[in-house]
Amino acid sequence: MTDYSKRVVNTPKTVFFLLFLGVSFNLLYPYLTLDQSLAQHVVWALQLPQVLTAVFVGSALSASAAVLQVLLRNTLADPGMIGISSGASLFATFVLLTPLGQWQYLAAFLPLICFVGALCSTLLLYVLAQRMGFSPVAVILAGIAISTVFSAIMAWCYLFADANQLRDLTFWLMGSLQHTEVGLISLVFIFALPCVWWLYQRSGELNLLYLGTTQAQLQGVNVTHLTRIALLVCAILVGLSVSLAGSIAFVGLLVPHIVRRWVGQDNRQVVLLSAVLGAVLLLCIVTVNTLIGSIALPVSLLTASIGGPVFIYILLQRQRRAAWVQQ
Amino acid sequence: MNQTPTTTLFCPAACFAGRFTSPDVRLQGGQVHHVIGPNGAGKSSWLSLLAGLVPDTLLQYQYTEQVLSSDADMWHEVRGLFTAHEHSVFDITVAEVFAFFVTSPDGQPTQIRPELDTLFDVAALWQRSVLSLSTGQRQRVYLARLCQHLYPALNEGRAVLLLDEACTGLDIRFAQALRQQLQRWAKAGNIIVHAHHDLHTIDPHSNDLVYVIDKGQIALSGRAHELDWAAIFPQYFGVSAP
Repeated sequence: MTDYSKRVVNTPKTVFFLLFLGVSFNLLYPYLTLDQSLAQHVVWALQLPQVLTAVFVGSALSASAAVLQVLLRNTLADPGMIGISSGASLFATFVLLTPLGQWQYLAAFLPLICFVGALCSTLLLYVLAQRMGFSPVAVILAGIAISTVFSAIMAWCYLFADANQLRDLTFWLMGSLQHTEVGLISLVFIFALPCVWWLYQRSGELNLLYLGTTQAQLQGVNVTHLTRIALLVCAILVGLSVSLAGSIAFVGLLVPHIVRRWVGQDNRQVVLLSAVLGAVLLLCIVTVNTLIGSIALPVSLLTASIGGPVFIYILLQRQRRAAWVQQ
Repeated sequence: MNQTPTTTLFCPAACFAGRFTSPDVRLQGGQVHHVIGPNGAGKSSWLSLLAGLVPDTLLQYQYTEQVLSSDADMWHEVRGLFTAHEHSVFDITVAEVFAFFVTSPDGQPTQIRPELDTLFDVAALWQRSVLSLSTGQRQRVYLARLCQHLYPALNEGRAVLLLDEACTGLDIRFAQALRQQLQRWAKAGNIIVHAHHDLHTIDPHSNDLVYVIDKGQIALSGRAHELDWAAIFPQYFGVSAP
């Protein structure tokens, strides 16, 4: 951690404070601008589901990405790279571009369908990677292959879709935090909590993967078992996220990079703080939408627009630091 | 007379990934075990086998009353393997390498032991990222980390230290100091197995054990002073003896 970062931010406390601030602001803002009864309705029907979705999705995507990066020994790995999100997107495409898209219960069942899609692509990933030896490179290559094939199938579907269906799909693919309700999110939290707990418990073992699988094995880590279970846990978390909020770009890639710059590479901190900072980042999007009020901006639009330049800045800073160290 | 207890490692006959076939082997501490052979002969595979990394092959380790098999938790505290190709793609600092891979008994941040710093000179690199280090510096860091991890066992003469080309890439002073330290650790009772290509560093008059690996098996073994070096050089390395 650089002296500058230390001065600017005592990371864990600051990140938790920002989380508290984001949640509080978004839940209290309607009370400041609307009358009591209307505010109460807005908070329960709109703000609370959005805030809970933002907290869950941001945490799940960021923590999963932090784990996947170490697991796959690739600093650019994120849930999109290994094809988990693309399975959910493909299933959403099938539903939204077929007559099923007009089904009255679609809103309730789309998350479940997307979750099944994410699990199917994970299963496919396992089968392909297994045949290639289940090395980190094999998992990444299998993931890229699955994403490519699924994207191609989706592109073929576009050709036969009408304008309204295309619009629905495009908005779904850009992600939204507003299409859920408290009951559904509570259900998701029940599934997700054991996964998050497992990741947190095993995050110390991930530190032993920094020098490769052999050194981790020498320290007593069952690398194959750890990789398989961790991939499955990440797939469940990402599948649940995509099913709640659609495909959200860049959060997984950006957040662990920022956290690693702040607190170093200890995964016991990185996984936890990535989860919290990911939640904070999506709460910022909720805040923007709360303040704008009249129009809900697609999440991926904002995450990619803000995240892209920030990521370039981080990469340039890192390059500058490396050059300074080598002098 | 007070005799130093000897560490013993028994490795049953096994085959590693079709690259190396080993007979029953029993290694004892007291001298350095040199593993030599041409590229691709199977030296690294044998070290993996001796490290207990091959599934379904249980090793037996013995030190005085202590008998362990290679699936025991304590096995990880007495055995270490250095491989020259280990490296991180992450921006971890030398301090983090030690913090993650060396267990500190009091839970405090791990510092390099002075005697190991004398050997490897890594304290000056402590806050640097391993990605910014030269190959030799990185190798010193990883060797120091391994030795620190095994230090309690090395001190008591009950460690199994397996090294794959540990001196390749090191400055001559570090390489020389490491070889001398390996001899001291071996004499203390530790099992030191060093696979390398530096045939000139093996004292042909010494009691060190030499294993010549060729075509995936142990082609020849014996004490350095007993071997016919004039025949080994041309037969296994294609050069005449110096």
